[in-house]
Amino acid sequence: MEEIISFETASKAIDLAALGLLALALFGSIVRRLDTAILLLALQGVMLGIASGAAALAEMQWRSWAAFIVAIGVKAIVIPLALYFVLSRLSITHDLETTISTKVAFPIAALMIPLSYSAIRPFTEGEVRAFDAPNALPAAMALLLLGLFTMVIRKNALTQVIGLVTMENGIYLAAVAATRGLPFTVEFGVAVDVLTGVGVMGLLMHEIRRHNPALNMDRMKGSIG
Amino acid sequence: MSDAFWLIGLILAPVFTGLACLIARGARACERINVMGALVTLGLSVAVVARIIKDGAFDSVRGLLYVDAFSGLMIASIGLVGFAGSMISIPFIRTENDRGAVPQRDRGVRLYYAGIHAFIATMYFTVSVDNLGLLWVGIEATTVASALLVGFSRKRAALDAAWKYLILCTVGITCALFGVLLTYFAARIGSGNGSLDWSSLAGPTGTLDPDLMRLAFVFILVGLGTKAGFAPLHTWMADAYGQAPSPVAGMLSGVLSSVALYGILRFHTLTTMATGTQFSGNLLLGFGLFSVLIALPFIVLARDLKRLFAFSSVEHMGLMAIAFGIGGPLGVTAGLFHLANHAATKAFLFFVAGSIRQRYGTRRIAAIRGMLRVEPVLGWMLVAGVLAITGTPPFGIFVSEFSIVSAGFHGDRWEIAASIVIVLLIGVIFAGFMRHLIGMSYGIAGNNPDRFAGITPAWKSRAGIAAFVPLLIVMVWFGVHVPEPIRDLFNEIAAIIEPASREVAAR
Repeated sequence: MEEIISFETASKAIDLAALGLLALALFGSIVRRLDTAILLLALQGVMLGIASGAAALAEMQWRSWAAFIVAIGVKAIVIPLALYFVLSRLSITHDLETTISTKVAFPIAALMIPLSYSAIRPFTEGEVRAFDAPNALPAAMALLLLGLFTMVIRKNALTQVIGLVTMENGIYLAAVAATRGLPFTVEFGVAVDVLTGVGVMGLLMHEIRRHNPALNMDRMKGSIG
Repeated sequence: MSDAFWLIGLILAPVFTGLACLIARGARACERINVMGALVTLGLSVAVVARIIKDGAFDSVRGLLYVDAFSGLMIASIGLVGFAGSMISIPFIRTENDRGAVPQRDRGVRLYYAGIHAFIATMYFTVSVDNLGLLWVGIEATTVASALLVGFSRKRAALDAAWKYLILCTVGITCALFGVLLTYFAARIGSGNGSLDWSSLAGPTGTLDPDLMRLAFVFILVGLGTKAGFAPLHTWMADAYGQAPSPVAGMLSGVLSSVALYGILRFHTLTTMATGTQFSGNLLLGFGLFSVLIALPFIVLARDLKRLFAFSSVEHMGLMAIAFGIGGPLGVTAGLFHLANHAATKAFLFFVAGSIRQRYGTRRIAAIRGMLRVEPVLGWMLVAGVLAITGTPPFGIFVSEFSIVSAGFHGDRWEIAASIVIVLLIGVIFAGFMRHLIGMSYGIAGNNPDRFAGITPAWKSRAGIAAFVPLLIVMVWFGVHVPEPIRDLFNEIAAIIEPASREVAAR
């Protein structure tokens, strides 16, 4: 098949999508309203769709189109809808309990971005990447860190899942930019795992809600000993 | 053709068993399906392992599956512990159901059996795939499949433990996925096109970028190390093992941790090949020592029987990491031997712990007293299990711990220092275990040990005997004598994990 856009255009699109993802994740790590957080996560999925869509347009292989459909379907639609469904049955709309205040959290979260850029620099200078998107790998690393950070400072089960999906989005972005995705069987398996994982998390949240209506995991039983 | 048949059958048999359990009518029918399925799966695992021992590695399904000697050892461990776990579940779940502790009664029983067979299938899948990305997929699937089993009782503490387990392990495993991606990247840089197939990466044509591989291994070790239970990433373990039904806890601790370690070791081999240094080995050694060190106080001061065994798992995973970190033919075979011994022994102990809990109605060590008088058979089983896990002869763990330490004494001065530290730590852990054991086996039985005397004792039922006896045989047999084919298997695996040591051994 003839490619529709050039590799340069695709690279530019991926680069922009990476920056968009970065902004969304940064904002997502401090937002308090749970429905906004889910919306931001869905937008992350859309950004991933743009990145993998651009890659697919440039490559025109069935494998890249399959990756595109997985990204849009799983990350932008199914997971946000599932989380929204859980939220609609909760008694709360805000994640009120954070371990540190947002005034402290935001600078720390912002600090992770230069950190990621410097950590990943040694690996972005070669000529081996599939797409010339200089921001993609650092952004992926930052998404990984921001997702983890979100999980650490938040106590709500739903926010923890959002942080987790953010981390996975980062890896997906890195895969698109650096290696044109993982081999298709792997990508497919990962998508199945993520979907069933979020499904099981939903089931558990449903059960936990009976004992713990706000899903505040800070009051978890059991100590480290 | 027949090779492919056995191997695919091995992965599919538990899947179909699980599905059949799901649609079975009533708990009794479900138990029968469970027994048949477990027997078929065991038979298939024996067939595959025999084939590997006889003719070496083979692939099937157009290279999707590839099993070598290392997979063979894992399949054998999963086969043994999976079979024992399915068997011990029968008296265990029956008693729980009689006590009304199974949510949704018969439906809960069906879900339970479906769950354990799905869990077993994911473990077989993980150790049989060729592609390292699919290995990742398999390990994540084991987490998803076992999380619901951990929260099986649906009590608050169990659900919270399941949540903690699922979230922490998924975070870890997500980091590991980044490591897989970096490996793929390293393969593209190293050899142009890139592949994630183990058989080509570890082959003579596989070249990986050393810098990327180093970074990849860090992510893999942190990620899969969470699942294997290395300190300080072990914090989910005591909760999950404590709350999971004992047959599940036995499988989680006995084999699932080793499956995660299997994943780490595949990447350890690739990293060592790519960098030509001891980078990954040293990291393993460090994590291992730290794990044994962290486990020690929790073992000595434990108050809950299953949590005690959980921290003992942290210790033993640490010892395995130390063995593979020391490396060389001696260290690697010691680590493999320890892996096999630990699988049998720890599963045995968790099954004993489950029986004790059902007999005494508690897991509190202080409340379990006078076992040798109240329940002599079970009491002696506990004594045997604890002596075995602390490395007392004539049990297998004594031999493997001894081999790990002596491998260390053959190494450089750091490894010798590590070995001395290990000996001291193992000694203190032994003392801690003995303190618990003496209290539980002698002591004065609490106010009313006969409260649960009416239960069907798991260890006296036929299914219970079918679970305990094979494990006990392996525990003692490996301590007295290691059969020739198994020793050959260990040597073969050592050559897979450390291709360089092949030449050393030949010299």
